[in-house]
Amino acid sequence: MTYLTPILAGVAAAIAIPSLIILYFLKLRRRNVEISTTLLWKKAIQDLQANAPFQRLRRNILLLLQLLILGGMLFAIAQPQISRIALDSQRHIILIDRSASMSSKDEPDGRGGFRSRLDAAKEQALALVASLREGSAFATAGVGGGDEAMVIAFDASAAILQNFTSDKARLSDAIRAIQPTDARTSIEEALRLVRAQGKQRVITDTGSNSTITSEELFSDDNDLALHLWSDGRISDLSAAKPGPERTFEYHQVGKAESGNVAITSMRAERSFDDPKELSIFVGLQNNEALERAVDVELRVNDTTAQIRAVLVPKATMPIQGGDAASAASAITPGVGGTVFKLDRPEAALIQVTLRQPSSPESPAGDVLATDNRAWLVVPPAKRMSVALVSDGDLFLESLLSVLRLSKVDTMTLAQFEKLVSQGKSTDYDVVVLDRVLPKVGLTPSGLPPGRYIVYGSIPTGSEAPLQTTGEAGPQGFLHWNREHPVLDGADLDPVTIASSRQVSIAPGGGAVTLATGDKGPLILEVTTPDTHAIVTAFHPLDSTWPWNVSYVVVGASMVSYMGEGFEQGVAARMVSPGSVISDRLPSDAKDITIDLPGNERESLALSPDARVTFGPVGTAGVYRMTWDGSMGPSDITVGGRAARYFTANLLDGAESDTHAASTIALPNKNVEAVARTSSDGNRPLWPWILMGALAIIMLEWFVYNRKVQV
Amino acid sequence: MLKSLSTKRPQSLEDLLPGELIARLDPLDLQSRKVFFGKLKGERRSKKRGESVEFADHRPYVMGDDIRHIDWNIFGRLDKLFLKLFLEEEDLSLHLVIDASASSDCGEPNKFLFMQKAAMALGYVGLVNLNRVGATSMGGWTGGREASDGEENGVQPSLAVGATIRDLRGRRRVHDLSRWICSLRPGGALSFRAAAERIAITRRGKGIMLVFSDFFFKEGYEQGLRMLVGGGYDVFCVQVLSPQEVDPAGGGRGGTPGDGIAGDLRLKDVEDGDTADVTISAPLLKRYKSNLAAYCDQLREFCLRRDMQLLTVRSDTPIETLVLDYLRKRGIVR
Repeated sequence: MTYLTPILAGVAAAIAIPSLIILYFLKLRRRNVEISTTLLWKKAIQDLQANAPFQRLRRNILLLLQLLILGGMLFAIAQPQISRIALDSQRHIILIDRSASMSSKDEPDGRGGFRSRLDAAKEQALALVASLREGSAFATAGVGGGDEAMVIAFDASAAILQNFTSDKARLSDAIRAIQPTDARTSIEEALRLVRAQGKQRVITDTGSNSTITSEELFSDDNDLALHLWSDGRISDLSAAKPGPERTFEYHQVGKAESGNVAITSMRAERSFDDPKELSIFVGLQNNEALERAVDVELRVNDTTAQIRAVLVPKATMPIQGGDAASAASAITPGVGGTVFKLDRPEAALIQVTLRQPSSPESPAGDVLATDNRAWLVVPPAKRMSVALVSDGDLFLESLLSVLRLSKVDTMTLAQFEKLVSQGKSTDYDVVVLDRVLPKVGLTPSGLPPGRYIVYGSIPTGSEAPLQTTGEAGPQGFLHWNREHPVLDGADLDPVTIASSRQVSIAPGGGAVTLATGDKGPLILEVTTPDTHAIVTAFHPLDSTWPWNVSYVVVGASMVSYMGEGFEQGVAARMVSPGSVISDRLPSDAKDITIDLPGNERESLALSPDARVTFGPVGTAGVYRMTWDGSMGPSDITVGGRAARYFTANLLDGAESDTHAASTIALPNKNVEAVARTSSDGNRPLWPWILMGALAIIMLEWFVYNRKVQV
Repeated sequence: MLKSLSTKRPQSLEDLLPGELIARLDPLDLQSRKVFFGKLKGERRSKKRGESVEFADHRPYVMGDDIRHIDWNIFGRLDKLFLKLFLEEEDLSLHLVIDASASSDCGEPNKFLFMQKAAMALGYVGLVNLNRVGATSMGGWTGGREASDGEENGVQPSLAVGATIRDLRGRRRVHDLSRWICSLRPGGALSFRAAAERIAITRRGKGIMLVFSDFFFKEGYEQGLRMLVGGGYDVFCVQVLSPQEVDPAGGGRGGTPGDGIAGDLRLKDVEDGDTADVTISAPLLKRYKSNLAAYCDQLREFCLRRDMQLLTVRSDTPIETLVLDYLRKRGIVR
């Protein structure tokens, strides 16, 4: 039991108790009563007073009761509290994991069912808040204050929901307001917020000839306790920097043996030979020690297309022994998958769902439902049309002839400029400019609107992202972005370039270098609101490139890459929960809205560079962006408005591994989970003491009235 | 114990003695353990031998005796002259002494009212049996019916004898006695010794003296009672106590709980203004009752030693019970 104001209670007792006794005997009010004679009464009084000096005191129950009342009130002034949860520190940071794995329902709800780990964590955090020591009713600035706490919720990012306060109601409201997300877990940003609560260092420059001194501001003398509620499935713990906290308590929620079957990967691909043929690859994961049979349902535009039975292998458990942390991380989930093949030339919204075999229900014993579904937006199959603006290039013509294109139209620059004037240049998916640059219909990028592959010319302009400063001379490839779809699989080392242009990227962006030579950029990608282009700073005929197999590979990749438009295929429309949806819309888009998976709708604004941003995305599912205005190549019309679909999927094997960890491995230590039972926490006793004093007052009144009726 | 807030004073005989009680009192007569001489031949046997029709004894004839009382039967047998002696009928004086001090005007039922009724009842018995009845009040206001506001008129209550009425005899004097009794107004302090001395000096004849009082005299009752006994009267003390004096905690004004004394009190003596601060508690009440019992026992023992009788009665006792039961058992009435 603790007392918030014991000294005050002692002083009050030293004053009040003797005063009561003195007042009781000195100022006893008596009622005047006339009687026939005092003869016998005086004798009776004398007989009683012949006894011990404190007889009146000893036998006076009223005084005893009043002393009890006074004692109770003095006790209440001391503000005793019973702490069910022992708290050492005075400042607490409550970190609550709200990532996808915290939605796993493996925590008993006390009614025979299960609730989510996040609900359990919130309940335990609320118990901690309730146990915070309250400030004294007589507290002044800096003296007698109670415990303070702040609330931080995190998934892929972190947010302070409530700054340091001793207001339990605010803290409780902030905790209750935490909603689950489908994002993965990253604690780095949360710990960065925690470190910001520690000691602050101020560096003061006292003058030019003085040494720089530093002055440390102590926030609370390092009396900081960190409480983390999580299932321990945090991938970046090892990179977490220790904070200023004096104590770090990890509260595990969830069970170590929870089973989960999840969709951990999904992609779509069209056959190169026959774009109408669509393949959907689905990767599955099983973290149980048993094989799991599931049905994988494929839905195309909300219609079930196929159901495939899949047997997912069991997880590999660690060898007995070792610590819990290493044991949890050593479990290797069993992986499996399946491939769906469809004849689907049109665009489609693909949904994959895991079911119990021959049942529409979710897999039995599956604690996390978020990873049982995934979506993809598949653009339509399409053979591209290419315009070759050239005075004649055998290599280019040969290259384009071997590609599976719907058509290749060769034209002169004048003919192309005429098409530009007529607004028909965008009829072609890709325009290849062979050592020429149109001079009409230019946009700030230096090219007319459209998608271009520019060989040997540098589109420039006052606002163009690229600038050329002359000839660069001979050079070779030094470095190229092997991850880029255009250069994936290309070997440019053997290529020798006889002459090239010196290219620089203008400040303001809009262009990235894909390949660099020893004298500067050689292959660049330009992206502006109206133009998308791959530009080479040299012409292939000025190099040995056409005689290198990479010429064909890169050329085909460029055509394929540019022909898929701004979205760049399926991957451009898929995001992970916790990240941001960001895309470019036509510059005339107006009244832009986005429909969320929960049937909510939000309005968006178009940035000056025709980009819209929404997020961070919290929930997995399908997001539909609609607007009034022109459409992009793969956009559709919904309700008279242009529409573009995005999907958010967890697809994270680490997050779908729902085994809760009893130990988390920080860089400097392993932290075991503490056991915490829900309780009332700190219970102030003074209300009960005052109630008791009130009851004694009632008893004293009763006794007084009984005495007067004896 | 508590001073009566407002007591309705009796105004006439009917207030003192209801008709049915009077009918029950008619057959009664006073009697005394001691038979006294009276001046008039009344309906009372006397130890004095005199002229009467009832033979009492013989004595030898001496020259000058009345020859009408010679018992000739004895002469015929013994040839000697003997004189018949007859019991002489004597009248009995009844003196009623009423304590009219302020302490009597207390209690519920009022003690003084009880005393008035009791005195009237006994006085009635004495009058209808041709006894000589007299009464004296000790203390109280004098001056007639308006004496209750004596303080406003600047009149002080008597400390000794208040009022006296004497030589009442016969039924026709009943109303005189009742008027006198109804005129009494209790109040003020009382010196029992001085009152008893005055009564002893001024009373005439011998007879029965009934003293109605609570006998709570701070100066003591001994000297006063000695003076009364010494006057040759058959003194019968009636100690009247109120229910509140007997049981301070239990007896309320209206007989309901909560009306009795309780709590922290300043008790004030109505006669001398003496005060006592008390906190009513069970031990104190127990001690009070013990002291009361001891006081009454001492009084009784004192009376017995001096051949006086003492009857302690509560003011809520019916007068009928007092006269027909208690007093009859003690031989005051028959």
